[in-house]
Amino acid sequence: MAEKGLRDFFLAEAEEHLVVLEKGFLELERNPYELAGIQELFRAAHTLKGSAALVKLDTINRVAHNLEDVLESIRDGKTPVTKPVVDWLLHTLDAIKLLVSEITRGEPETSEIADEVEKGLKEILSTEEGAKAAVAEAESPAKEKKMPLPPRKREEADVLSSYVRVHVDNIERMMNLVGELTVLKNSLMTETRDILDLKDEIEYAGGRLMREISDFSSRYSYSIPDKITYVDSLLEDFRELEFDRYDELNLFTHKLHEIMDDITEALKDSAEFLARLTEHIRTIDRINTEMRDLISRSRMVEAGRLFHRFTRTIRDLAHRSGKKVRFTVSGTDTRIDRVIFERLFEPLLHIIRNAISHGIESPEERLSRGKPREGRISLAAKREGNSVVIDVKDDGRGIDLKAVYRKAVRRGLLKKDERVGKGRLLGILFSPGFSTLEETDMTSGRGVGLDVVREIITEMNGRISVATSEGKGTIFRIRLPLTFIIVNIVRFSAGGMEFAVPSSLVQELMEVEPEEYDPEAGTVALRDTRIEAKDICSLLGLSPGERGEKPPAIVFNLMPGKQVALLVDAIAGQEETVIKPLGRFLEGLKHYSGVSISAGGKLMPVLNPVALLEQPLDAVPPRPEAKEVELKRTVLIVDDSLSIRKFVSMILEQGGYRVFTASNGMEALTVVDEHPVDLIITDLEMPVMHGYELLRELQRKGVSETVPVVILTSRGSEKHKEKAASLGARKYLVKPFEEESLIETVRECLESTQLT
Amino acid sequence: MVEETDTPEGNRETPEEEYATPDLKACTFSVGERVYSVDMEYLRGVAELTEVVPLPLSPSYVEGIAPLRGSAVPVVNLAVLKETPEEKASERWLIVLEVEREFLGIAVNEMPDLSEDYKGEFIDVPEFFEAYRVR
Repeated sequence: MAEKGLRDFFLAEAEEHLVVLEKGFLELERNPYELAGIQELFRAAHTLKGSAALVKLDTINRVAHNLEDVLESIRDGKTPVTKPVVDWLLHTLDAIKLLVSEITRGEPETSEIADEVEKGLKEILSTEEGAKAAVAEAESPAKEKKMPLPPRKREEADVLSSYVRVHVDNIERMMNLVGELTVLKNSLMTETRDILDLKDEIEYAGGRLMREISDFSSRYSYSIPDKITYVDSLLEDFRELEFDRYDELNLFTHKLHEIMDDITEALKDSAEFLARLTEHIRTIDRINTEMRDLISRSRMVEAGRLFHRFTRTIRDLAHRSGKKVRFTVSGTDTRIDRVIFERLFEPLLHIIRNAISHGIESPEERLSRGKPREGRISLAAKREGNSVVIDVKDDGRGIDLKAVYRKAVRRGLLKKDERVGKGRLLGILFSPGFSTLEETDMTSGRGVGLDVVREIITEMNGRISVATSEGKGTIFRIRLPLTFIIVNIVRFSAGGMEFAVPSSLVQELMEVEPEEYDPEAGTVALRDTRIEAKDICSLLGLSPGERGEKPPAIVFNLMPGKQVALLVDAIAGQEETVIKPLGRFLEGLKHYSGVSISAGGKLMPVLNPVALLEQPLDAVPPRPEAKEVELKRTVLIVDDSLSIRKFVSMILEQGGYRVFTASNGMEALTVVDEHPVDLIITDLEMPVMHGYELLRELQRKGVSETVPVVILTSRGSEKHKEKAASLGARKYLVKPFEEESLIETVRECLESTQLT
Repeated sequence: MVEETDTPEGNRETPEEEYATPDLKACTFSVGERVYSVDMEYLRGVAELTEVVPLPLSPSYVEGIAPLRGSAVPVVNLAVLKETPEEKASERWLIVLEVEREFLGIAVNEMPDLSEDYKGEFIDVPEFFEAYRVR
């Protein structure tokens, strides 16, 4: 167990070293004479070796040791940086990665990998004259075997004094707890507001009581003339006492006053208490927000780490396709959520693959078009408010819109000769099953299309857009929320239900002037332009609730230049909440991104506006049963005995039939009217409408010509059998009956109808 | 110095020993005049079903989602799914089932029974989950 824990520690650390090494080696390849960074690489290899030894990963230790030796030799000027050396370095790095992935999967190391690395090293060294020294060192690792531990411990001690490694799961759990705190805090806030309202009500009621008392006592005092002078102010009881004029009423009102004073006093105290409580809740809110920011910052990862993962891929892909590509990154210190970081790799990889295989032209073609030989791909990250924007840019040939159009028509996504704008065409790129690839090749089109890219990004409450210019290049822009556990949402109501949408996707809220909304065309005026407008109620099939004269709408900016207004019944407000996923059972409902659990524990579906507004909604998931229904034959059982109905149902259902039941002839006729039935099994004696009547009715309607009717009765006499047959009954079974004979009869009857 | 004494717990009879629990392996319930059984193995509890939040545009047999301990559970209406008559009831219950850490609820009008035998139509929970989950 202890070793397992240590290995996790090692794995987390190894990843960082590998990133440093990869970046450094590629730099070395570009600038073989620039050796300033070599010391850092040496240290990375050295530490990797030491840590591997510590957790008894001997093969990684051996390989890293070789790596360390070669780097040392380069540093000391003994080995020149040549192509074979760089290739060996990269190859060795791959070897370590392979070993690390084995460990991650819990498999043992393949020690042959180290042999291979050493073989490769001998080969390059034997061809290089001035590198004999390195050979000697590399071949005698035993000499240094005990060395790694002491320096490693020193380094670790320095680092540990200010850093602790934390497993992502722990951060995740903390984040969830903060999320729950947020929900709880929201509910506390709602509750205090309720108490404050209650306090106001009590105060108001108290005031009324006081007025009533005063009115009553003054009216009463008027009826006793002597009192007029004094009773104006009830506080003059004493004088009344002195003048011996107090009576029971006075005493009573006086008491009431006292009680009312006590209540007022208590209310004042409680008001102070509530004010303090509110203050405290605000403090909790502030601390909670701060805590959330801190925790989310600690699970933030620099975008640069993600970007550098592509350096190698791009190099290899470009190499393979015979193209020259220069890869640049910017905004590498922009921090993004770890979860987003992990999930963003695939989509970015896909876009980059596309850029290399379709975007960037061959060097010759580029030269002939007056472009530099080397194509450019850049990854840029930047923070914009509460979101991160990532741009993937290439300076290739751009997206061939005509090809997109042709393909869309072929795929039935567009009608032939349909006129579409550039924006719509680019949107089609993200449609399921669409790929501009005419045929799949090695580098791209591995079954994932841009639709999947978009799906992944939408799941993270993000959006993707694309801009392209023929001959100049393409930019994919991905916009994502900074973190997506606690999300700010806009709540609204529609058709008597409450929904929410993530605020990060909302551009603005507007009021719709009736004369500026055109439901036919589905547009509305927003300042000086007209934008697309859709009604949430018609999208979701709800009947709209009461709406004011100017119903509100939420404006989404789905793509640059493409805004859509969503008309709703009423905006309820904005709040921070935890969005929980709907779970696997409902994950196919793409127009929901989850569910928000509000202060009072109320559930509120969170809509995914991208899926809701952009995808055709006739794609309502069909009942998965539909296919099955067509195959199963349907039998209607008519019997007034519940146990017979259940028993026969059970037998037939087990036999693979679909079953309807009815308790008399009348009910049976209703079922036959409403559902297609393949066979009817009926009793003879039943209330309301008996079996003979049913037979007669079925005959009259012409049903028994196509649908065989089987009698299942306790009457076994020939007389009944003949009568039933004359009324069109196909078979006659007498209770008690055998399961097999029932199944057999049903099958025979159904087969005979299939033949006709 | 610690002396070994009879702890009161030592003398107490554990309540489990007093009742021989029958081997309950099925949870049976009826919906729309039809009886169903599921394996106890998947049963995570029965909760009072007070509120179901509908999810527009979902298949008709998905009645919506219901809150359960700070989370949301999908509610399946078997009467709609199996096209059996739906009965109105003043109180309803939710049979909460779990398949590989994912929850699923079946709405019923009467408290389900636990029994030693399967009755009526047997529902294989993982199969059901796969067959009817919304894709």
